[in-house]
Amino acid sequence: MTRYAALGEFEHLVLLAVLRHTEGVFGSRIGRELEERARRRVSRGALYATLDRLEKKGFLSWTTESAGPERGGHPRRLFTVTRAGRAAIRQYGRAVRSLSAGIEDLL
Amino acid sequence: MFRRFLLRRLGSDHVARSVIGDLDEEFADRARLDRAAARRWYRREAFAVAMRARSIVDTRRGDSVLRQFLTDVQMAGRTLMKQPRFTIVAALTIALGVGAVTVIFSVVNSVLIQPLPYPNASRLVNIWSTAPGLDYDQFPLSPDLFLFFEKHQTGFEEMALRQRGRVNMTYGEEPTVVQSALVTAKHFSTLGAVFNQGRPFTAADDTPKSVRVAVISHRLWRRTFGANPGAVGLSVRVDGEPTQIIGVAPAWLDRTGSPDMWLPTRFNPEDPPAGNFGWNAIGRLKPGVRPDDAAKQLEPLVKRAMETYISSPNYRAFLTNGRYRPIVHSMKEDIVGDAREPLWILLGTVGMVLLIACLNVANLCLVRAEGRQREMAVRLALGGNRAGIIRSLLTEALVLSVIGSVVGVLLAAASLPLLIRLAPESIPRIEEVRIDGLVLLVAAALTIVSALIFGLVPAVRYTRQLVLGALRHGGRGATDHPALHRGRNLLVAGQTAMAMVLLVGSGLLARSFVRMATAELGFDPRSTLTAQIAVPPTTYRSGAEVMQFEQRLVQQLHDLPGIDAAGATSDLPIQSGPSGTAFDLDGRPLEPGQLPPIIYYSIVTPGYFVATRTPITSGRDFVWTDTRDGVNQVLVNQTMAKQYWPNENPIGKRVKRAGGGDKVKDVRPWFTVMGVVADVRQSGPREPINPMIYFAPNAPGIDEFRSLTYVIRGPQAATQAEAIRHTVRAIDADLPIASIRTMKEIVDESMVQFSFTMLTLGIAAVVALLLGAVGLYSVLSYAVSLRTREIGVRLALGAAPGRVLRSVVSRGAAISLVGLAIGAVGAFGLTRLLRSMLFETAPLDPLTFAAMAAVLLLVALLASYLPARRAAAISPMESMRT
Repeated sequence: MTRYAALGEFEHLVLLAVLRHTEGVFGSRIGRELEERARRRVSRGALYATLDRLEKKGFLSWTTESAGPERGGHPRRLFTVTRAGRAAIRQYGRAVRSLSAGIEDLL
Repeated sequence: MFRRFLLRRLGSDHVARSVIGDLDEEFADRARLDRAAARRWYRREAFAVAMRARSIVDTRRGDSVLRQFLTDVQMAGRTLMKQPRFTIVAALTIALGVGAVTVIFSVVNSVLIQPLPYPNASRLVNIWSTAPGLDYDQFPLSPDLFLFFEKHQTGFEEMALRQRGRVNMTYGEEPTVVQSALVTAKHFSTLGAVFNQGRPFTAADDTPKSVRVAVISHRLWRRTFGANPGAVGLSVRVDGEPTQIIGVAPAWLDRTGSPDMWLPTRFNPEDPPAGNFGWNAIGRLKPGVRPDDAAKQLEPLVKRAMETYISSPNYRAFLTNGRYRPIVHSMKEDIVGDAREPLWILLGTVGMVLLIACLNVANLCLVRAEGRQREMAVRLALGGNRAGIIRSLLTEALVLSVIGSVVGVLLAAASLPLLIRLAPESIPRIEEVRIDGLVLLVAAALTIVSALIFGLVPAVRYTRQLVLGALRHGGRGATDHPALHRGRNLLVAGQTAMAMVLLVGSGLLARSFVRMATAELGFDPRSTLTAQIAVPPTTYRSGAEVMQFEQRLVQQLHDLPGIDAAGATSDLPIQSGPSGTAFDLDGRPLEPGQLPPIIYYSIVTPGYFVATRTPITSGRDFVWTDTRDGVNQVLVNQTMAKQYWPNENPIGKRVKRAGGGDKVKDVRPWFTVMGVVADVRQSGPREPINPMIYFAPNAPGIDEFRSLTYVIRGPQAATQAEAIRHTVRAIDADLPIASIRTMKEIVDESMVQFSFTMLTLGIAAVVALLLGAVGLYSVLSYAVSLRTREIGVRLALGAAPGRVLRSVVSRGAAISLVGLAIGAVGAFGLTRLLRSMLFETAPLDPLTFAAMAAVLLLVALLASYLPARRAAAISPMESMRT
């Protein structure tokens, strides 16, 4: 089993949010996704820093897409989860599951 | 407004722009629901993004190296500003080192590296003669050979012959003495001088029958002719002969140490002076020809000349037995040759000072770095990597180094004029010295190298320690790693070693200087005044007339009030080297093929040896009656007597100029030695003494000496310049007087280049010593401050303060002793480079080594004593509280 760099909780959430969009997703959308589904306020500063960190760890990659006037002509960066990213999520899930086994009633 | 703020923080690459785009898009989305809330949201998030701009943009791959660097520089600036005392001390230390190197390098650059000011100067050469068979190392050329070479050579574009001299020029009322040169027609085109006013010489100007013409220097044109454009075509008197000015040489030629007036040689091409090796030949090589090749091509021409026209048996013998051949030297090499060694030594010296300065700053950085250990450890623990920390330390060093170097170069620029004024004129091209692009480039390189030296040492050293150390230990104890102390001690020892090398070097030079200053010169330069006076052949035609003038002048000078003695000579010691010629010695017949010895000679009037206080050791001095025809007596020096008549009484021996006799005019009678004179250091304190023959004025068969230097002696002689002028005017109102100086000045001048080198080396050594002392002081002070608590405990437990003091001082002494030993070994090797500059002092002179070691140790003890006293004065109570 390959060991992947440890995933922080927020990183885990961000990865999951990106994973929901197989065609790639840009920053604002990830932020909205997290706010709606995880019910937490997401600072865009923290979000972009995390995206960047995840990219550095090799869990995310991105491509740019030119965009229209609603963005003032600024390009969109579309993030997708890499294979390593998916593996890291799986590993995280396994850890959660194995630690939760037998104490389901308490949860 | 926020957008601009954001853009500025993030930069403008596509990552930054995509983030801004995201915010914009979402803002537009949110604004559809609640515009005010959207605006609040945007403000908050933009701020959040801006705050984390670096972790969003800067940590990305491919982030611009420049921006990274600028951020580092900014941070370094902030850090340095927080510690102004450290920054100022470190920057000034660097400034001192870089400034010193910049000054000396700008001299080296202008004197040794930059080409001479001639066009295509690298192709300009001097052509000399050498005659290894006669032990003649290097001497000038003879016109007959030169003209033959010029006609048949292949390696040169052009060649010219020249001979320096002095002429009396009269323009208007006042005659003036003008530095002059006799030159062949192609002189100016060989040098590449193009005339804006008038014309250079042509072949038609350079024959015995040509109208007399002259070219004047730009300098003379401005000074004497008031830069009058009509100067070309004017007629002046040169040594009494009406001469027309046909051209003004270009201004840049004045910067080459050239004379003020050029006159054609007026050789008869059919019968040029033969065997007269007193002319300097110059040449411009064809492109691609090297000096040695050119010399090889000239060599066979000597044999051809002997086959073609040289018939005099003496001349032939000279060329054959001497294995005569021409040699070709690059002109630059000849000009800067003597200055090369001292200048490189100086550059090496100041380089060492810079190195010491760097070590000192490295030391300061080490001390400071230890204070920042916790900061760095935290950085490492939080995921900062070692490379990043080293990088930011190096940036700090670089910023420090740049500040120091800028100050240093400014210091150099400010002190350069002073240095040029102090420097001896014997350093060629010294007036050209300035700070140019190359100097700045070198200064920039020094800046980077220094930063690497004093930045890398602490960076590498203590980040290695850190990784394990600081966090685990915490507290003060952790900052006292023994390994770090070792590092600092080593640096201080290195500084001491280098200071030792410089001290020994300057000590040796100082010792030589004292030896030279007190050397037995053979004359007493004090209480004298000298003046050069030349009598022109137009007014004083015969040798007898010349001598009458000389006798009258010497006697009238002697009669001046307050003057004890007066005399004159053709070759005042140090000021001018005497001529040498071949002499036959009575009773020493030559073997066939053996050449007569070359002996130096000069002319002295009666009274000269009294005026210079050169003792007559046996026989008697000249008196004026000895100048009558047919008396024919000479004096010789002790070396001559010892060398040619060992264990014999030289009085009564006879000498005569060798050869001659073929021409009616050429009288070469025998002269009888009537006295022996004490040896005189004719060419200066450092030069060996050669055999000398002294003739009285008007001696038959000896060249007329029309230019004599008159010497007067008296308690107030130095102030008698006006009296000399007045006396000369009273005899002949038209005679110019050149260079009135005391002999003391002449002697001092001959030592000025040496004393300049010594002074500079001495200053460098003192600076090195001070820097070393400061280094030692700061290391011990720091050690004491770290041990405050420990020393306090010891004192509280009853340790005697004297013992604490001794322990600190002995630590300082130990460090400097190590440095001293290394330095002594280094000096052993390096002082050999000074050998050629030393005078009667061995490069390993034990006294100098011992004395300098003592000085160094004394300074080191003093530097250790101050922190030691502080340690001994620690109050146990205080130390516990801190």
